[in-house]
This record gives sequence, structure tokens and C-alpha cells, in this order.
Amino acid sequence: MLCTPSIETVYANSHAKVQLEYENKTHHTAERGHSCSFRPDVGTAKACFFSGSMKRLHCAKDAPHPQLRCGQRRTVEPLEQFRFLRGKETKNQPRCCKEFGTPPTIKNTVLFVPMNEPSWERAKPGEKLQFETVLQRYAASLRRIAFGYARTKHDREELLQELALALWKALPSFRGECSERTFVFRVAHNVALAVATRRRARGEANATDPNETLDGVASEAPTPEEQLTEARRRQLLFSALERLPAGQQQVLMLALEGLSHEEIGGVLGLNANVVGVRLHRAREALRTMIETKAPTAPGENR
Amino acid sequence: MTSSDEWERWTADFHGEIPSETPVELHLLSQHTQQQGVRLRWALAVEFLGGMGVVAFWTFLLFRGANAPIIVMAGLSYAFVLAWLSYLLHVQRGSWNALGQELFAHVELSLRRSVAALRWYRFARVLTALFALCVAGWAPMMIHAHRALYAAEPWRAVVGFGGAFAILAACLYYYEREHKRALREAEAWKRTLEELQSEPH
Repeated sequence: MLCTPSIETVYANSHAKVQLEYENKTHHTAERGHSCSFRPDVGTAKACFFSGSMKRLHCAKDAPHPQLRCGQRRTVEPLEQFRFLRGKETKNQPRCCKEFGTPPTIKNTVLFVPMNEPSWERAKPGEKLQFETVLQRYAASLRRIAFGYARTKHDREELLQELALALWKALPSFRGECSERTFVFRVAHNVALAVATRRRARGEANATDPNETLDGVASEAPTPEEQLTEARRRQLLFSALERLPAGQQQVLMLALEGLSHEEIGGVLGLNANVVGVRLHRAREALRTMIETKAPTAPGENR
Repeated sequence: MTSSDEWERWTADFHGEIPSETPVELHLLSQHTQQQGVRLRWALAVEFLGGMGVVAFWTFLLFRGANAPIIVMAGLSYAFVLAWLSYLLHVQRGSWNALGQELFAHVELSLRRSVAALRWYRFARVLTALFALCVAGWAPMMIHAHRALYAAEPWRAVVGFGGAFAILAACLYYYEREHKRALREAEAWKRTLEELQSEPH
């Protein structure tokens, strides 16, 4: 069965610069922290997709790259290229795809080039991490964490500064017992939670900024019939994340960041099964929160 | 919308740019952080040296001429500095390294720290009140002992004892406020811990 051209969204996290090509023609480049959509208008494609972040590639059974058979995961190295030409739709989604919640639809032909960026999990035991390098590498992720924990712009800027300071303090103690990414996310979430708790202690949790709160977003929508703009949807998502209980908020943010259950477990000190249960509950809670606040777009079944 | 579509959409939204947000100036952030870090180290050094300064001051007074009020005040000062330094060490111990701990351990440590802060502010409040009582008792004795001097220059009594009372009152106010803050913080950490424990773990 041939694939139908479709719009694909790809996310580049703080580690990757991604170039998407279709039959040797660049369609889009996703920089750090950006997402992009591309649409191959011609041809067919082999099933190949990303797991939400650029860390791993998952491919269908007939992927040409010998190291990327179904069910395998591997870290993508800088300047590593994968080319997938011509493919077909796979009806039976491989198990590895379901794990990451990727929809069972055909994906597009891409040339995947993480460019000039260091690979993940690079730190070796005993290796010292440079503050500026780490900050540069994780700036987008830290910013998203700030967005998930703080409601107002001022609070977000303050939190981002606190996160940077915490990393500066904590990096000398990093001995490579866990991956660099686990360490950075652990520090960042610990600090963000501490700041949120202090704010709660000061009684600022109920402070409202009509332009930036979840309620504000929902009430700003011109009419219930109008579709939420992308920006509004993002605000809605982050506001909902900020209101979730701490345990659910963290697990959800880490999963959205593209961390596997094992990695999330490493950050939070939980086992992967518990992460799965928490994530399920967190998704339910987030869905409910968004559904109760966001007007339904026309023709959209939420 | 299927569950996986929804997840993809959330992921896209999560990773997307927020138009109203100004981009992060990394070099500025890094610069501010390093400046702030240096300031923190200086602040810690100044606090420690301040404590040592207080000890040196009262030791000097004791050696110059020990009488009952000076012995009492010096004793209180030593107790204060000792308690304060042990609190500082207790709270700061491993605090920079502790940032990389797992979540539960971090929350429990934070709770323990805020309880320690609570204890410290209680102690500091009581000690400051004792100081104030001592100064109140000491002032008439001093005035009586040096009545010729104070009669000639009454401003000395006003500035000296008035200043001491003002400082002690400010300290009491500060400790009271910080005690309340520490109490609220400890309660907030307790709630956070309970919230985390209510989740599967």
C-alpha cells in the first residue's frame, strides 16, 4: 500500500539540529527547541519516525539501515545520516512504536542529519562538565521547565536564572554516576519544585495574571467556535501542566521532553513501571484539565 | 483525536516556540549566574567572618575587664554564634551537591532543612529576647556606674543604649518574620511530600 503524503511534525530538542530532506531536497530545518512541519508532496516513503525527541530513531521492519531494525533503539551521533527512500505503509505498527505513542500512520521519507552537536549521554564517569556547554545544550529544555512551573513572565525569568545557578552549583559534584541528561533534569526539576514550593509558602500560588493564566487563555478565546491558535494551545498546555500535582507534572514534562520511562525513573528515582502508571494518570489529568478549560474547535472531537 | 495524536500534539506544543516570550540570551544568563555564584560565596564568607568578628569582640571585652554583665553578654554571644554556625553548616552541608539528588531524597532534605531553619529562628528569637533583657538590666547599672560621664554627655546613653535596643528590636522583628516564613515553608514542603507520596512510588 502506498503512503499518502501527510504533514509531519518533527521536534528538535536542545541537542539537535535537524534537517529534513525528501529525495535530496531540504524541506525544513528544525533548530534547537523548535518544531517544524514538512510535507512531501510526491512519492512514497518508508515508515520511519522519531520518538518525540531526536534521541532515537525507530524504523519499520524493512528499514534499510541494518542497525535500525524494529524494536531497536540507538543514540544518534552528530553528523550521522539516515536515508530512507521509497517505502510503504505498515498496518501493523511495531511494538516499539506504540511505546512512544506514535500514531500508526505512514511517516515520510527523511534524511536525518543531527548537525554539529554533541551526542547525548556523552559524559563519561569522572568527566567534568563545563557550565557554559551544559547551559547551551539544555537552554531550551530549561526554558520549557521554567514555563511549566511558573505562570508569569517575571517568575519564569527568575526561575530560569535559579535553574542556571543551580546547575552552576551542582555541576562540580557530577561524577558521571548517571547520564548528563539525567543529572541536568534532576537538578532542574528539584530546583523548580523548590521554587514552586517556596512560592506556595508565600501564598502566591493563587496570584493571577489574566494574560498568562489558564483561565485567561480560555476567556481570551474570541468565541468557542474559533479554533485555538497554536500559541494559545501552548499557553493552555503549560498552564495546565503548572496546575498538576508535582508528581504528575514532573513525569509528564519529562515524557514530553522525550525521555524514556527508564530515564524518567532515573531522574525521579522511580522504576519504569511506576513511571508508566504515573504517566497514565498524569495524561488523564492533563486531558481533563485542558478539556475543561479549552473551547472545542469546530469539527474536532476532543 | 486518538490518544497518540493527542500526545503528538502536546509534544509539538511543548516543544514549540512561545511568540510572546523573548529568547534566552545565553551569554547574559551565563554571566549573571557566574556573578551570582561568586556573590553567594562572598556572602557565605562574610557571614562566617561576621560570626568570628562577634566572638573576637566579646573575647576582647572579656580580656579587657571581665565583670558580670560582660560575662553574661559574652556567653550569650558565644552561644548565639555557635548555634548560628552549626545551623549554617547543617543547612549548607552538601546543599550544593544535594541538588543532584533524586526527587524524594531532595524533598525530604528540603523538609529537614526548613525544620532546622524553624528551630534556629526559634532559638535566635529567644536569645535575642534574652539579650534585650540583659541590656535592659545592664543599662541602669552602667548609667549609675558612670553617672558623671552620662550627665555631662547624655547623648551617649541615648545613642549607645537606644541604638542597642533598636538593633535588638529589628533583630526580633526579623527573626519573627523569618520564623513565620520558615513555618509556612516547612508546611509547604510537608504538603509536597504528602502529594508525592500519594502518587505511586
